[in-house]
Amino acid sequence: MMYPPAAPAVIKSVLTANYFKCRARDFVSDFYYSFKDHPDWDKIDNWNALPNFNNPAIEKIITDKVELWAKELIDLRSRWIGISIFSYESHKIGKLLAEQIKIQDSTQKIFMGGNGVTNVNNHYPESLKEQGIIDAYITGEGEVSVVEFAKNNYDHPGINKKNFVKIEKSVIDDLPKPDFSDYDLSLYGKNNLGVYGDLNQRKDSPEGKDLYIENDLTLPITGSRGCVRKCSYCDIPFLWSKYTHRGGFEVANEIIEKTKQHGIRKFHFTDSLLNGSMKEFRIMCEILAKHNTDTGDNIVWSGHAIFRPKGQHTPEDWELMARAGASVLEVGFESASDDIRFSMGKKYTNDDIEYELSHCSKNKITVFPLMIVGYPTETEKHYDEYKDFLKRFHPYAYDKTILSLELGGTLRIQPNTPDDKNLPKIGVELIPMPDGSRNDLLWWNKNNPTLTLSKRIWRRFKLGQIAKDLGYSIPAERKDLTYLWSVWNQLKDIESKYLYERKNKN
Amino acid sequence: MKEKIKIKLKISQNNHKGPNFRVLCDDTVLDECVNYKEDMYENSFELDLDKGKHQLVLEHFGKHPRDTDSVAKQDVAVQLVDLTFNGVKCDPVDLHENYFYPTKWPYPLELKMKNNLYFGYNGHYRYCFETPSTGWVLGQKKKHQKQLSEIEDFQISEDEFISRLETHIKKESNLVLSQGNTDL
Repeated sequence: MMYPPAAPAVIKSVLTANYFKCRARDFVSDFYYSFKDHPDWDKIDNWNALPNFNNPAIEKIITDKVELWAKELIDLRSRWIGISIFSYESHKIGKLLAEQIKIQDSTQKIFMGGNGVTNVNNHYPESLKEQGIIDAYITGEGEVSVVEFAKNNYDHPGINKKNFVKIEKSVIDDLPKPDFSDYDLSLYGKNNLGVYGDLNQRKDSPEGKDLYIENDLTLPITGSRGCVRKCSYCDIPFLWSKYTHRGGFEVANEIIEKTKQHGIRKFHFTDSLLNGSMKEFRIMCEILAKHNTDTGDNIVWSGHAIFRPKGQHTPEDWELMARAGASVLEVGFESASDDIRFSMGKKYTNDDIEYELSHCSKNKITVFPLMIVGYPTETEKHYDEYKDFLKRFHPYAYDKTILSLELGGTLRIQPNTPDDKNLPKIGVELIPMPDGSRNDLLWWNKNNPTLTLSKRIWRRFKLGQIAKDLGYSIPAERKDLTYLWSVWNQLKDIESKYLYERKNKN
Repeated sequence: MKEKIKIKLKISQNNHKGPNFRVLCDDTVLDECVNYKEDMYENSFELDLDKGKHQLVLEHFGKHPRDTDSVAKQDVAVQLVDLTFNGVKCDPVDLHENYFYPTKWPYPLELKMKNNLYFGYNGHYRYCFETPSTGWVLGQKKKHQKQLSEIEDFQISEDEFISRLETHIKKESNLVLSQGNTDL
């Protein structure tokens, strides 16, 4: 609930620019505000993420709410209702909403779009369409295809197929600005902020007061698509084969324009990384730094960034970033071991991390490191290195340069990633689910045989305990625990059965 | 209330004869085909049905056992492929859960059969449903959805989880060490 969802605002703007009427509605905020004080909030919230948690009482509570959403949408009498599916976690509620719409008005046409229908292991959109629960789906980026869809051009790539094409830079440059006019912006940036909630707790602490930023309204902003790296575990290069930046000048000016228009001074980049092009990034920072100095607007921003080998970000770069308003950088360290990080495609060492963190600390920029525990080549030696890593950098957790830590839910081997293609070559076996489908978390490496699902999860929580003892904050710890407990219950016997049958076969 | 029902059948025929069949809703005949010689049959019916319980009936009639030519591997039969209510397909498990009642067959047969949508005997397949039908069909899908290790409660402490993981790791250690390469 940090900022309003970007996708419907983008879709609205491109449809409106093409003379179609569109209304955007954010049910995530309604879900949150409807249930946040409910005694079963924890269960209600987790129902979305846990495929094997289907408590009837909780489901009834959610279904009653979704029925109201369906009615509200049907009452708009739209030709199509589009449902944005962000990830696996939207699958259950997205299906439920589509079902409720069909129950109330079976003639209402529904389509789905978003990353949650584009690159997923199961056949989510295909199955819903085949069953008649939705009428169409759009994969890949929607800016062009949704307009073609509205024009009834169902043969356009990405419509009802996964043959989507990446959109050209020239198209991105000409896109209208996202239209947030349908949202009640006062609902965002106050509650349920995840890691950003930690900033709130800094207000009165001596170590953190300089880093405190009032958590008021935040708007999402997109400066680039794609990524300059091709990290082994990541599907971004599949979705956007080439890194494309809109231009530092354009992005900075959009931020300044939005500040004037909405009085909002906090922005969150939806980019895979905001400093992929140092040239454009520096241009953006220079304009924003000048604006902040000249006006006192104190614009601040956050988003995914990459660390680089020592010296590539100069001390002047870090000072400029600070003046431009860099507040939280979410950085994928991914591993505590240099060799694993390099094999993932990250080209920097722990010494480089030390260099970058020292400049963050000096310039009061906070970092949110994202980590993966349980990479297929992770041995006991690497586990020990993880512990050393946490000890080495804990002074930065103490001075709050490391805002919080994300240890994640262990390695997923996602479709259309280098890992998906390459790991089987080094002995990783993808264990099939009983129905023949696959689960990203269910794999085993015959060349690192003790690293089973249970061992990976065990390491994840042991490292979490060590990190917390060293003063790191892990805001997602409870959520990860709930999720992995659920997943482990679902998968552990499937893995054991696979290993048992494999042993007897050999 | 208006209900749109779509039925799709696969047809089996021998060199001389196609199947005879009727589609009925409750007691009303919606369509009747005699000596049907196409490979597939697909039809949609818009019906005005009262709220409550109903039956969609597929009747296969007029076949004799000798219509089955086991040498030429030819048969006269209808096979239910899909049944769709208001655009929403019935769950295949649900279709298999409903019964076929054989009639007018010279040899003794069970009174009713299920788990087979290939109707080679004379008789009625009866799909029981309720209106409004979209909600019914979706409800049946949910009923037949395969659940994997459903969890009722996910409140567990970190220490308890770690302890359970350790027990499991111990249990599986022989299994993994005996078949993997530990030289990494």
